Amino acid sequence: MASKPDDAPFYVGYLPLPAAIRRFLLPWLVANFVLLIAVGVVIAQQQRDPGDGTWNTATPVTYEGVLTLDPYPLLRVTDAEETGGPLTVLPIEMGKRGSRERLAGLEGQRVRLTGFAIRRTGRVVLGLEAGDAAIEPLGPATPAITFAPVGLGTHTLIGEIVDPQCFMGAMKPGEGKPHKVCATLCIAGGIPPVFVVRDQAGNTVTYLLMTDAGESLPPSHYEYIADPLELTGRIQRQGDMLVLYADLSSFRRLE
Amino acid sequence: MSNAYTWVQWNKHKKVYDVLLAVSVVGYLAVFIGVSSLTWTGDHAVSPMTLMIRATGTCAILMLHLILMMGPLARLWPIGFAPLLYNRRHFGVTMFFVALTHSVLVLIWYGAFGSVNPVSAMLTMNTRYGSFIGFPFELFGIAAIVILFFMAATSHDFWLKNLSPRWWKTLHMGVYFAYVLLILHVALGAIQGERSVAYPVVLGAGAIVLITLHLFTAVKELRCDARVDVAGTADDGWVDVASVDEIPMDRAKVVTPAKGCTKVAVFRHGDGLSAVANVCSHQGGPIGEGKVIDGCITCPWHGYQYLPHNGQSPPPYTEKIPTYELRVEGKRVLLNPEPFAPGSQVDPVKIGEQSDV
Repeated sequence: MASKPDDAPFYVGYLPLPAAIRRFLLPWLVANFVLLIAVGVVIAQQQRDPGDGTWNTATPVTYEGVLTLDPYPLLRVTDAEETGGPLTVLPIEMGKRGSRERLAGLEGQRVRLTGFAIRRTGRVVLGLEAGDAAIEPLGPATPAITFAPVGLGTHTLIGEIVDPQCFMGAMKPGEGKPHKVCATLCIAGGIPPVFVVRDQAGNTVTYLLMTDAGESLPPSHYEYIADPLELTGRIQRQGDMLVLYADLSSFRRLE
Repeated sequence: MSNAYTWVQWNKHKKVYDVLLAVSVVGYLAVFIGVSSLTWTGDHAVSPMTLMIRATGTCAILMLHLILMMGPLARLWPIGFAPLLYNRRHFGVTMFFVALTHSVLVLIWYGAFGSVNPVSAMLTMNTRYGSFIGFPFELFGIAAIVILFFMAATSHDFWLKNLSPRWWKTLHMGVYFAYVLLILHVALGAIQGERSVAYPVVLGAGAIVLITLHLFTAVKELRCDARVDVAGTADDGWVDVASVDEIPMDRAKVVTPAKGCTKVAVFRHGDGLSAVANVCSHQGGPIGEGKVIDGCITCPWHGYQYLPHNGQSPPPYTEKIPTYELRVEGKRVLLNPEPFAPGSQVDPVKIGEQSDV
């Protein structure tokens, strides 16, 4: 009563691989590998432009100007090399913290700050070096240098609240929902918020963001960070910098 | 098998499998980082850390798709795809470590250096729990990595044995929950930060392929489970399950003796027939799709072996599966649908002999 033996190939992990199964599997494995690489190429190639910000962590730079602390620390430089005129530098601590603590008591003083520059679209964020040498007080500003503000009217803008450290070049990209936690952490840590507006061509205009009373963005509005946002506020030009005095009640998420 | 635990019971196939796996992972990461670096250059270069986060994240979810394809493929085409299944746990553990790398880099890059610890930052800096599109997608990733951790940590046969195959399998079905969480993690996270339609297309295509494969497999298995292969029932309750000629030498016919009953594998070996439960005690593999090799019924999934006459693994191994009584009447094979306890001796019924059971 001999039955016909079954000659179908049978795989056992610890026995030699039957040739028929090898022939079956080889094209599958090659196809898998090709698919994996192809998907990798597509996903990598389709990433959005992270922007042209730079972060030079190798060579410290020094800026000299007049310091204001409210609502955010700003260093007003009158004749900066890169602009040939006024430049507002945003001093921050390396990491996700503002520089108010280390700069306390220097309001209205002329100071020389040394740190690592983050640059994008003409804006400069300065990550202060560690140690006392990074902050050199030069005495009271005489006369106090201030940029005469120029009112540019009230506008409704569509954009995104970012932290300038990441957006300008410390992280590329440093915007959008994937970056929301980090941006909130930075702004909650004292880094001044910036409102970024893009035109159709993708060019960005950045506004230092504060309340219409000239105060810092309150924690109640941190939830809007990194979301597509419409808001209304007064715009002022202060030297090279645009400041947006936003009406907090006008914040409207666009989703 | 069960005689002693070692980290990995290496053999040639596992080594080849792992080498191919490592080459694929390293190759993917290199291609992703290379293409990214060539696409965005100079001042427009993506941060290296961001590239690593994206490379490991996309690699992990691609690997998960491939892992989840193996099960259905091995059910639809058991002969060809069995080798993929054999070492799937190494694939899974590798995927976990790639995903863990992604998670740790995210914690460092986005969550560290702030006023709160990185994990707290992930949980507290985005509070839009009431919004779908704005939901903190990081939570889905954290939940998924926790599930994948428990799966990777319990992937060894030690845990399989001590948790029992049933509970171990249940725990490891959590991979589907992790998959859903990761789809949400990507859809409500990384894709929100991109503009190219390629991302939702690739993610959607992967999900469609997976769902389709699982549906096809489910339909096939349900039909198979619903089929009662009984030609008749004798007065004593024994069921007529096959003709002797239907069962190839060293192979089995798998039968369902009655609706809702466990499937039984009736093996032909030498000049006799033996019947055992169609469920391997190791991982529940389909014993009836196995083969008799060196006198032992051999499971098609991981090569676990059982002696046909008692359902016991040959010493020093200790696995056992239930056995059944058979008798032959003419050309017909009759089965007693009541199983014996796992490992019970049941002498093979000789073909051509009338059994008096």
